[in-house]
Amino acid sequence: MEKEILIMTLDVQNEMDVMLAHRRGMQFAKYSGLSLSEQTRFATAVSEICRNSLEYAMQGIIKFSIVQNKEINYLLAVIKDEGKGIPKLREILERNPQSYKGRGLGLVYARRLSDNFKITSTPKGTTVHIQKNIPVKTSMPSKLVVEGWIRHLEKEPVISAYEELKMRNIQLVELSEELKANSAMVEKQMVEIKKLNVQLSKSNERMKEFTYAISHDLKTPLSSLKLSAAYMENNPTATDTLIYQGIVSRSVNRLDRTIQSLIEIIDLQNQNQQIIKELVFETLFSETTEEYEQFIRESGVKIETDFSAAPGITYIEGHLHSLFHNLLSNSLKYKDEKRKLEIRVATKTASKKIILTFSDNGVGMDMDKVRDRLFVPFSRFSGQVEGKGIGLYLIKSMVESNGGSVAVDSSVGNGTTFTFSLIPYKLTDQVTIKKDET
Amino acid sequence: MKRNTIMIADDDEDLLFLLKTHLASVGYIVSSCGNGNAIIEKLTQEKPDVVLLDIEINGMEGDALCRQIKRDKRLTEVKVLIMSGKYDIERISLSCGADGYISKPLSYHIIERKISALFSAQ
Repeated sequence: MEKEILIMTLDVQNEMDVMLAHRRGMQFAKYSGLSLSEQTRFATAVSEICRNSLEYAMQGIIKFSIVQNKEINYLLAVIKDEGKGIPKLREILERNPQSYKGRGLGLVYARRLSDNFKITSTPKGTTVHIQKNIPVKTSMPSKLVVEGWIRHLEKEPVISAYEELKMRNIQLVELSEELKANSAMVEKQMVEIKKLNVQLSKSNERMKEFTYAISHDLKTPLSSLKLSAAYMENNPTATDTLIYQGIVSRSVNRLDRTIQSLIEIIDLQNQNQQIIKELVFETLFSETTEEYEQFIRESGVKIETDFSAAPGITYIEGHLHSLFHNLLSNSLKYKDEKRKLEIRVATKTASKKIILTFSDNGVGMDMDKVRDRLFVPFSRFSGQVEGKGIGLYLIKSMVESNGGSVAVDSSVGNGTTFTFSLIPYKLTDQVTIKKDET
Repeated sequence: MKRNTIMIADDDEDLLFLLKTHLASVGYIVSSCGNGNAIIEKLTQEKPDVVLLDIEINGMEGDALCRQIKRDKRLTEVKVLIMSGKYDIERISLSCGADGYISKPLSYHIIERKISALFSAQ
């Protein structure tokens, strides 16, 4: 069902009327909630057609109205004249403003400036419909409101052509300002998009690394399974099958462990766990040490913390917890049997970041040898210690997915220091993340 | 006739056992190395005809090791077969100068074929 509210009808009999039509076009578009650039588009289209009526039919009539139907509300200008019609209308409408030099582009421009443009032309006259859609968020003006517009316009002082021109000039300046502001915004968005792009390609790279690593970790035990099965098939009466059974069960366990790790990684990346909170380092860290309390007590591990320079951070709780958990578990696993384990954890601020250092006096690593593979999932550097080899991978990918970074310094016999640069969230970021969940 | 010698370099003990047992059963003289750091030394001592080199041996990269082998003047006679589950194993094996590759998961049949192809090419 279409509902049309008539706003105003104007005669177009001279150049001043064309200007008035332009002016009213601007005003009604503005009252309807259109932006300055949309107002200008509508008013320009209207005045182009009015000028045509004046030029080719001596006079015309323009009717402004607001139309409401199921899908959309729009501002409508219908311009009618009783001229001899436009011969070769189709040809005129197909003129290309970039290559066509000459007069008669008014129709082409008006059509481009409209959201919907209809023209009928017969030897008895021409009618043009110019439609400009009203943004959905704007409510449809009622008849009462439209009457208010007209009363408002009646109070408007009569203005001269000079004043009218001056006013249009001001509008042009405003328009160019709006365009400038828009282009600044576009630029800002471009920067944002570029940043996201970098993040995306980083996460892509991580994904690739991860796929490589997991394929290695799955295919080695699969090889063992396949070869054992082939042996047992080819030697059904062999007496040494016990060895092969052992290999089968170890391989199955290893596959199982790899799949468990996968679940762990996916769990951590699960959006539902990404609750951003104001976190206190001291509290979170002591919660983590409690998980290993017995081990720490029995082996006399000394833990020193200094969170005084930066006591807290707004961060994804699950990530920070997992960070501490993995660091602590690594330190305890790779402690140097020759001395008591000492762990130092401290924070400080550096511009907008928080620097977290975690160091131990454990066995340490030869950085020249492990540097490239340190954060690759399923890499293990020590045959002695049971591990899935995903701790450091998790740490790195968590910190980086939150915009931060991690550096490692280590030497054999002296221990290891991890330095994290963490980018705090704002509590308002919660909203964005929650939105992504749905 | 001189029997051909093969060294298997992999950090997975089960896989070492399986490959070693099988290749010995089909007539090769087989040795093994489970430590990436010791491979070059062991190769120069034993000078096997072929080394089956895993793409990752306790943290060391097999392709880097292969480059090292190919640069080593003492090891010019040693043929290298890279073993890996990576999908781009062919590219990796070409880029590090390996004489061939074997995709994981392994099968006895393919390993034998790839090894004997190396010997018949000689």
